[in-house]
Amino acid sequence: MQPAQPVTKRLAEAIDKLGLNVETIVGAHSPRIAKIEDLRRSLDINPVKVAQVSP
Amino acid sequence: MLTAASTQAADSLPLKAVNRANEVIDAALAAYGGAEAIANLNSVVRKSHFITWATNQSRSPGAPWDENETINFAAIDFENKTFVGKNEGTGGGFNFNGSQIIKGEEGWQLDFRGGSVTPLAQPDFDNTSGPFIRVTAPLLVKQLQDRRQTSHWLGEVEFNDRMHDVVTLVMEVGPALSLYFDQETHMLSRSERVLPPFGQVDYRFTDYQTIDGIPFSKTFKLYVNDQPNIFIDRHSTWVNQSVEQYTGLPEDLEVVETAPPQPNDIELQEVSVGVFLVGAGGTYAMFVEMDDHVVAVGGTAGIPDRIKALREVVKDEPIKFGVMTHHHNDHVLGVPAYQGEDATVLTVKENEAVMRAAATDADSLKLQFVEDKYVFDGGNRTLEIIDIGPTPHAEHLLVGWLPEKKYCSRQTIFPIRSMASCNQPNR
Repeated sequence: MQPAQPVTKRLAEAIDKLGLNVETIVGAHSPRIAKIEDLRRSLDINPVKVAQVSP
Repeated sequence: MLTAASTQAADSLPLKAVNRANEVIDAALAAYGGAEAIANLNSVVRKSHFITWATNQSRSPGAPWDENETINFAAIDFENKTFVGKNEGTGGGFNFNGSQIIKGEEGWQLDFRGGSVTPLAQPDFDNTSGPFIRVTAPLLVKQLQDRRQTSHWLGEVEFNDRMHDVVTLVMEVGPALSLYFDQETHMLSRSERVLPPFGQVDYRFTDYQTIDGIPFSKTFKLYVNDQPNIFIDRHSTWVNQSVEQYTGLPEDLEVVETAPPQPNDIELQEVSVGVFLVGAGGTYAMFVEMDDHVVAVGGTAGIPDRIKALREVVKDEPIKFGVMTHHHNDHVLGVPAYQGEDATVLTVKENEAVMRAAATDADSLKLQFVEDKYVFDGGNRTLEIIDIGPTPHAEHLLVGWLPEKKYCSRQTIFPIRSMASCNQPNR
């Protein structure tokens, strides 16, 4: 599970604002049938900070 | 007879093209520090700043396109077939900070934002390093040196008020490049290739600086169909140093299994009764059966094949509506297919020109504009098309919402893309 992207956050905001009782989410670029819990979980994950080697 | 045959061969157009290409390549090798220096150019490390333009992929249709920034790091070592490419930036409503490492037969995808590392199922040095080679002039010259037997002289043309020889280069992967060498300096000024479905990709090499006896262009510009796509400013360049230090995997990344590859054959999933997700290879459309017709949501590539797959289970009901989620060029490819079905295309008024331009016949395209919401009520089922814009991806973004309050309990929304995908600069 990845941290939610800004565009995903916007989708979540719209779902909440419109009061949609969403259970299932499907997308235009993946065969994955996601649950609303997947969306909520991605919103709870923060981007991590990892030490990287480059000049 | 032998003499006559030799004369004919010498005069033949292909042989002339090969011989002239060799002359151009030899002159270029001399200009780039000499054949020996290029042959010994084994590793290059560059740190760069990219400005990218989201051509036909911006928040609003039409120019000016959204401008984004990326910090790029790349390291290549030919002898050890090692490549490290890292990009950190934003664009299209996505933040990305990731890296790809190819080390011989091994490879990994690193996601610094998500904190994970994924082994690559099929590491490919040539494929992965190709974009870096194509934007690095001395590495293109090195390719010409190694692959001169594939090269032909195409002719001479004026570019930037200077005469240039144009020769071809066929790399290990990808369409052939046409390389423009200045007839006086013998430096590479430009290269071109045709990359379907994007069109003409035009690379410009400028502001040369010599590093360890080899000239590298400090700045670089890439145009797609004459529109700016990527400008690169090279902050640092190192040559012939070990790249081993960049190939380590940070210990604090979580190793996750390689995701199964996207299916190449079209799959049809029945998400709910009469609701089908159909697609393959990263492009999917949703088809919703109403009382006596079908509403299609999504216009990515391959809609005719997806309709064909739908017809295996939904035989006769006509597709009366095709919903275009937004105006990006990879999401309006389905417009001609829906027009061919005599369907009405749903979009917002602001995207009308894009839809008509994508149609087989702009004038006869049937359009229905969505203002905030459009509701299909099919007796047993309701399908709402909702504009959730403005979003960081597109000003107007249509999603399909199936409350199915009259039919079943499953509730489905069709957004623009999967949650984990990200945009990367296209080179």
